[in-house]
Amino acid sequence: MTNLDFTTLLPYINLLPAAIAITLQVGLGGFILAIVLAIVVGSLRTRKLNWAVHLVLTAYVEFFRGTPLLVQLFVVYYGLPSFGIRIEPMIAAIVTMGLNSGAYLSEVVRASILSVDRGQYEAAAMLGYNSMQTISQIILPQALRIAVPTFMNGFSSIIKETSLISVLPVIELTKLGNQIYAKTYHPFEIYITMAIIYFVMTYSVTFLAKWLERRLSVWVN
Amino acid sequence: MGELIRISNLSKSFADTTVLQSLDMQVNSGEIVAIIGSSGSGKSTLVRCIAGLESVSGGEILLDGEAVVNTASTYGKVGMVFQNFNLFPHFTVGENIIKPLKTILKMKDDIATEKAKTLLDKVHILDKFEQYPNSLSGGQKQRLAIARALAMEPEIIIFDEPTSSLDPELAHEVFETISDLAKEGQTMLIVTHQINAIRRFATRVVFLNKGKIEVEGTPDYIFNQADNHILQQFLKQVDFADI
Ligand SMILES: Nc1ncnc2c1ncn2[C@@H]1O[C@H](COP(=O)(O)OP(=O)(O)OP(=O)(O)O)[C@@H](O)[C@H]1O
Ligand SMILES: [Mg+2]
Repeated sequence: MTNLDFTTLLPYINLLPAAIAITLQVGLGGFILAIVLAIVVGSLRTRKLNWAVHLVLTAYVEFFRGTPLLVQLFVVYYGLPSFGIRIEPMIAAIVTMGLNSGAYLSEVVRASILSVDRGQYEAAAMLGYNSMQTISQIILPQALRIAVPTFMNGFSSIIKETSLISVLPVIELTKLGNQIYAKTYHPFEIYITMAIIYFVMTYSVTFLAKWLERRLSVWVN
Repeated sequence: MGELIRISNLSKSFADTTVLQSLDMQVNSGEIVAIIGSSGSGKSTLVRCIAGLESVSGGEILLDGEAVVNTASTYGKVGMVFQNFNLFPHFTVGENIIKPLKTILKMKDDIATEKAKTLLDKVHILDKFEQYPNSLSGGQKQRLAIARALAMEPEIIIFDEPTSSLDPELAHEVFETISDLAKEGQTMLIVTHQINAIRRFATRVVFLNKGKIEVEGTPDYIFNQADNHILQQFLKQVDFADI
C-alpha cells in the first residue's frame, strides 16, 4: 500500500474555487433551464395538442431520455459547428444539461399535473377561471408541490453529471482533477477530494430539499 | 318570480348509456328545489349539465334565456358546491375567496378582503381566515365552499350532495347555513337524501327515476300525499338510511 500524501495537492488548491464555480454554474444554469422546460413541456403534454406540436415535444422528450448525456454533449458541442452553429463550451454544457434534465423532469411535471384532482378544474371553471388561469394559479402550484422532491433529486443528479463536461474544453472539478493527476500522479488523493467536494454539494441540496418540502407542506392534507 | 332556468327535452348519454331522457324542468328565482332519487338516477348528471360541466346530448338548457353549453355560459350566474368540497388546498381560507374575486372580478385587494371577511363571518369561520383548508373540519370545509360560491354572487347555487361525506352533526351545521341562505331568498338547487332538511326549506321537490322526472311537487305533496309507487319505494329506503 502506498503512502497517502494529500500535501501534494496543496499547490493546486488555489485552482479549486474556479473549478467549483464552473461546476456550480453549469449545475445551476442547467437546473434552471431544466425547470423552465419541464414546466412548459410537461404542462403542454397534459393537453390536447395540434399534431405537429405533439410530435416535436414527444420527440424531444424521448430523444433526450433515450440517448446518453455524453453523446448529447458531443452532438451539441462538436456536431452543431458542422452546421455553422458554434457555441461556447459553457453554454453548450448548460444547454445540454438543461435539455437533458428538462426531458426527464417534464415527465414528472406531467404526472404531477395528472395527479391533481379533477374537482379542482371543475371548481375553478365554476368560479370563472379560464384554462390559462386554472393551470397557472390552481393546478401548477399543487402539481409542483408534488414534484419538488423529484426536482431536488434532479438537481443533485445534474451536479454529479457535470463531471461529464470534462470532455469539453472547460475546467470544472473533474477536469481539474485530471490535470492535477497528470502533474502529481496521486490519483487517490485527488479523486477522493473531488468526490468529497461533489458530495458536500449534493448533500447540501438534500438539506435544501428537506427545508423546501417542510415549508411547502403546510397546506398538504 | 322570474324564470331562471328552463330545461326542455333534455337528454344526456355517456357513450351508449342514456342517463337523462327528454327531461323538462323549470326553476324560478327564489325557489329552492330539492332533487331526490336513487343512486344512478341521474341527479348529478342533471345538475352538472345545468352548471355547464357536462355537455348535453339533446334538447336545451336556458339560463336567463341563453343556452348553457359550457361553464363559460354559467359562471357568475351559477355557483356550485360539490360533495367533496373542492377547495383550493394551496390557498388559505381567506384566499379561497379573495383570489377568485381578484382574478375573475378584478376586485381590489382591500375590497376583496373585506368581502371575504363578511362572507366567512356569515358562515361562522372567520376565525380560520389565515389557516389552510386542511385544518378545517368537514363541515367547516363545506361552509367555506358555500362562502366561496356566494362570493361570485350567483343567481343560483347548486349543491350536489353537500353533506353526504359528513357526519350528522357536521351535516347539520351545513344545513343551518343553507337554511340561512333560504331565508335571504337565495335561489338553490339541492341534490340530497336528507329528507328532514328538505322539509325545512325546499319549496319544491323533484323525484328523478331512471333519468326522468317521475313526480314533483311541494315537500308536503311529495312526502305525504303523492300516490306514486316508485316514490313510495324510494322513500322507504331513504327513511331507513336516514336513521
Ligand atoms: N362521466 C361519466 N361517464 C360514463 N357514465 C357516467 C358518467 N357520469 C355518470 N355516469 C353514469 O350515469 C348514471 C347516472 O349517474 P349520476 O352520477 O348522475 O347519478 P346520481 O343520481 O347522481 O347517483 P348518486 O346518488 O350515486 O350520486 C350512472 O349510471 C353513472 O354510471
Ligand atoms: Mg350523484
